[in-house]
Amino acid sequence: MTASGDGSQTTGAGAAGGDTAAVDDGGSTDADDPTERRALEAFDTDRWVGIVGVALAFVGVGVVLRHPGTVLVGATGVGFALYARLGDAGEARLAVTRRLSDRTPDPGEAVTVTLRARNVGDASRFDLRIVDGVPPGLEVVDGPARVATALRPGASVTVSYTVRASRGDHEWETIRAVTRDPAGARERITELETPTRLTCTPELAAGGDLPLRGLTTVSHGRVSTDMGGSGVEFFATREYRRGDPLKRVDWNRRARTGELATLELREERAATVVLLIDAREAAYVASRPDADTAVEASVEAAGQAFTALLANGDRVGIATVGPRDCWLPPGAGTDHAVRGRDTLATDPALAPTPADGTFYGSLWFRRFRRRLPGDAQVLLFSPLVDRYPTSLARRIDAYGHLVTVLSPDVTVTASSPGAGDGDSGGRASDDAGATPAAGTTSAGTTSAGTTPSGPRGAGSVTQGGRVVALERRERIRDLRTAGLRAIEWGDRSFPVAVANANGRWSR
Amino acid sequence: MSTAEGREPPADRPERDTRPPTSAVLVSLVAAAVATAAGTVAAPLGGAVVGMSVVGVAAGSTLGSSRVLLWAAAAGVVGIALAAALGGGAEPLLVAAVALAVAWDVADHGVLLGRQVGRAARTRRNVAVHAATTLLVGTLSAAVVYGSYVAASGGQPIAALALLLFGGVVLLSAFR
Amino acid sequence: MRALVVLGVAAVAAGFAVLVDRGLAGALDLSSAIVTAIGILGVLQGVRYVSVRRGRERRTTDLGEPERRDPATVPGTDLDRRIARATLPGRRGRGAKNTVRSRVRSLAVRAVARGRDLSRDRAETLVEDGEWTDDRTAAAFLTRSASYPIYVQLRGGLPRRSTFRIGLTAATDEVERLAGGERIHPPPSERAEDRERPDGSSSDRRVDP
Repeated sequence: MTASGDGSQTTGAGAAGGDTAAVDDGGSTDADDPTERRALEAFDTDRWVGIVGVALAFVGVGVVLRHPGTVLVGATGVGFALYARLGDAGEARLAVTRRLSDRTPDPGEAVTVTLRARNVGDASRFDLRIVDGVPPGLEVVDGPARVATALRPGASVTVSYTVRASRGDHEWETIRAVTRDPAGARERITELETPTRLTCTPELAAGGDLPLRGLTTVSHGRVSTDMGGSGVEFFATREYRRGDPLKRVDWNRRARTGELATLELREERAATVVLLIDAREAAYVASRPDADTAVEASVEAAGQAFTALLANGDRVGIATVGPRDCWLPPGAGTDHAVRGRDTLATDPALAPTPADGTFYGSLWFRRFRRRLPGDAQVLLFSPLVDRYPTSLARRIDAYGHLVTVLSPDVTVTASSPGAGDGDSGGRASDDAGATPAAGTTSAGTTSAGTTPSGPRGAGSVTQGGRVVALERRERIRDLRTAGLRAIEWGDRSFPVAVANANGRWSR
Repeated sequence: MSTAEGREPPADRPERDTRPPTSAVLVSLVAAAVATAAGTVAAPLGGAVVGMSVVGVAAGSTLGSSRVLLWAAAAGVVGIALAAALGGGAEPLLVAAVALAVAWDVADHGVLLGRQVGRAARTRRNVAVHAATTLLVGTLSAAVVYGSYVAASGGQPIAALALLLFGGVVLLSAFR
Repeated sequence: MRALVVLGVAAVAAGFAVLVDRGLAGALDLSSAIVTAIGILGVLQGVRYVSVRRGRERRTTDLGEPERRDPATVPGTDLDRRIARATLPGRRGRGAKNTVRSRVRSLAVRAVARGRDLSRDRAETLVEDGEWTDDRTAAAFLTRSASYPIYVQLRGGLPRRSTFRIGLTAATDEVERLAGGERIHPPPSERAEDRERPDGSSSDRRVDP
């Protein structure tokens, strides 16, 4: 919130007389050109209101009592009243540079940010406060990103602070500089723009350790796999024909009956899978205000699924449900893996904070339908805290695509989650070591997105939270009743939940 | 736009330290103590009342409340008026007045600084410059006032004063 | 206005003149009463100006907390706000009360239908009649045909309490108990062996060979 009841703004760059707005594109400027800025109008702080009254009253009392000392005190007060009246808060003409110790850090890494501001105006700033516009998705872990100082013309001040890197493409926002006159009676905000970007791309999990086969190709796909062939799973036996590989001859049968027979294994086809991530504003929820959101959990899980499926030979694409469009068509190969990794890390549709804009469900669905290949299966990642994802899953299902809903549980419950059928809901410790991707939630964010393990006191769970948790559970039941598969995971890592679910489904 | 007293910490998240910078608190406490001492020299009873402003400044800085600081300043003003009414000398009264102004000003500056920037940030230079300017302004105006008093004494300045006061009151009401 | 300015300037000028030349003081000869009156005028005006300060809010800039990550929404926050509104008296509370109640009711109906293997309609009737649970407080929360026990009504009458909230807690407890019974579930360590029990059939049609 700015100090604009009066609301008028002046653009400062013009006032400086022909200086081109210097945009610092990498901390390389020599900092003599003032940074592009926008000064709001100065306003009264009402700090010294009443000082004139005090002065008058003292003089009056002194006159009445004929006491010179009192009059002198009052007259001194007039001096302060003048002091409060005379000054004004000029705008902050600053040349600002921002340097990062690392522009492409790994998740969890500490990055030192150094902000240097030089007074390039011709007036001294007796009272200058600067607050850096740290990106909303980054947390400062050391030192406030602000300073208060006084700057002569040409003098400069430096602030250093440390942020912890987390997934995403983070851009620094407006720096806010507050200037006041020496008496503090007037105040003005100047907004300064020094764009800086930090990109943090987590490595995806090494592929293959996520048992997703049951989720996609085996037995129940409309991707027809009920064909005998050269897979790995037993399908049937048939009479031996010349040319059948010797290792597929049923030697047991030969020993028992003397006949030669060949094992038919289940034919496997590459499946086409689209990872659909719920990134509507409603999905940016977490069990605690400072925890990682369900979108973070979804993206991490989607990353594991992505590598596992690619390693499996499937074609994988990525899409999001949300106001911003994101579509990576299904594909395979190394280049595709890199594209997928970048999409999950830095696509604006999956930004660490909700994207602006309105989400138009039917428009979005039409476009998604057009893009979705006819034989594609959909893995929908959503926290399921509102009604929309359930109906979306059923709609996609109705169009003949196999849908599996994968839901990070961020509801806060006194008891453990899971719809009582034992396929999820254990309160194991954090996903330490379960997958390399889990390394993305390093040191500081270990309990990310989850409630602390162990029994939570019911007192810390609000009524609203309990009702929403119950409703979410009903949604999962609904999905299962409708014949859709749903997996949820809480504290327990995603791979374990998938493995458990697999155990059930593949038999 | 935040008003003076409206602070609401977000739930279960570690807070930025919004207390006033230590330097501001120290300077204002010292100034308030000086005001108390000068007030006591002028008239012990008045000095005792001024002394309440030390407590007020400490409390206001701890609570981060400019309203408490205002009450502290009011106590100081009343104490100085009392000391004057009891016939305190001009010099200690002037010292007490300037010191009280500095005490309130720096403490109040500190509270807002704490809210906007916080105790953990670098603020020392800002506080020093602010305290120095206020002290300078106070000393200057007290010097001017005292100088003219000394120059004019011996005559009958009360009539001149009455005229000046009257003129000031009239002008002020004209310009409001 | 202009007259005031002229008067003021004249008075100040006269004052300075007297300061400079003492002789003028005798010529002007302000009586003691007039001087005192001027003094009192000064005090009164002074007090008026000081009193402007009372009730005047200080203005300053709120610079926010950019150091923090944007806080995430905790599921249920919205509903909590609605519950808080529901405990307000009068019409404003009524709408919120109805919303909260209907959400809990539909949870209760589903839990009852599933738990006792009844049709949705039958379960609805049970809830409507307050017969879905032995807990009278929970029952009364969801229907008009049952009333809260006396002690609940008394407790709800206490300051900072409300029968609505007590009823809501009781009903949610009851639904939680019916809906899952997770609390009597085995701890995670035993669950690993547990997971292959054939319970999938009801939840997943496509599994069937």
